[in-house]
Amino acid sequence: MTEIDCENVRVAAMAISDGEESTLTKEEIESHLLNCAACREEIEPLRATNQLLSSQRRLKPEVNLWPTISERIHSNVETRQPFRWRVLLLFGLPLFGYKFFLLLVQAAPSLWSKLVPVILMIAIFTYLKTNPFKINSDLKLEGETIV
Amino acid sequence: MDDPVAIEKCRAGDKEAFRHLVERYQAEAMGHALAILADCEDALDAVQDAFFDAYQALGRFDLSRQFYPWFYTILRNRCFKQVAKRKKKVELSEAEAMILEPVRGMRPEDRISLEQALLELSPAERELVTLKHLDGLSYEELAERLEIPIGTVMSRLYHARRRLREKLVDTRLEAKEIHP
Repeated sequence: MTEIDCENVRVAAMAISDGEESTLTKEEIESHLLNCAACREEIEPLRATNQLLSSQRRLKPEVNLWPTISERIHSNVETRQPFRWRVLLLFGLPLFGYKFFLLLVQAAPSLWSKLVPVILMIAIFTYLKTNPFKINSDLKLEGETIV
Repeated sequence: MDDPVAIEKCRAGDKEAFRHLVERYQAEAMGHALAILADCEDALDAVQDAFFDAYQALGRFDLSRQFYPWFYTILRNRCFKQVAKRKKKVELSEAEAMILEPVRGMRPEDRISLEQALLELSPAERELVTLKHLDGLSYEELAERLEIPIGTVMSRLYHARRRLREKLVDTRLEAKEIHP
């Protein structure tokens, strides 16, 4: 049995143990387990851990948040968020735009030949609204394989 | 008062109607925030911020949906922002219960060991494991709550439980030996 086969079987076995559908049938899992001691040794303790966890209850601490939240809602002031970036945007963007415009007007033709393709590309990507490089930004845990 | 009625009232400008939602869900929200953050002060901040965010976003809430799963998305965003802001690792307190309620028939030291093992998982792993086992969410519900595919739920759950198992062995708490 290859490592990847074993991992698929283990993931599927835990799904079945949770009462969920899995990528493998119960028979396929049982047949693999009969021949794979490593998987048997892995799955049995995990099932026991599952049982232990499922017999627990979540702690729900008694709190009274309404006075604080009520105060914030009534004052309607977001205390945590600094507003400096808004000031920066308000004054910084027009200034930056003006300076950029001046540079463009005075720029040599060689700069235009570089800028035009960049602006065109940005416009195309914005229009398509897709990631043309297919970058996978999903978070992935260490040692994880996507089933 | 039902949630949709309270939400409608809030939208109409009745700020007091939001009290119903806060008082109904604050304990559950604190439980969820504690499970992710493992720190009382951070959890309190995250829950308060999340309720404030929810109040401001109520106009966008789809009344055909349930309030808490929608609110949970806001809450977990706030919690993971707190995690990202942290400069140092949170000191785990052995004395204070954060995640698990005492269960009859289980020795307190065993519960503490299990809680310690949970606290040693990453916030994302802890969130997943506790939503599965303490809230009893199905894979489909987990996928919806965490906005990931079901295959990823299966895989992450397997790895998180495996890590938890390792931590339990480290704390010498053998799951087989405990019969709550």
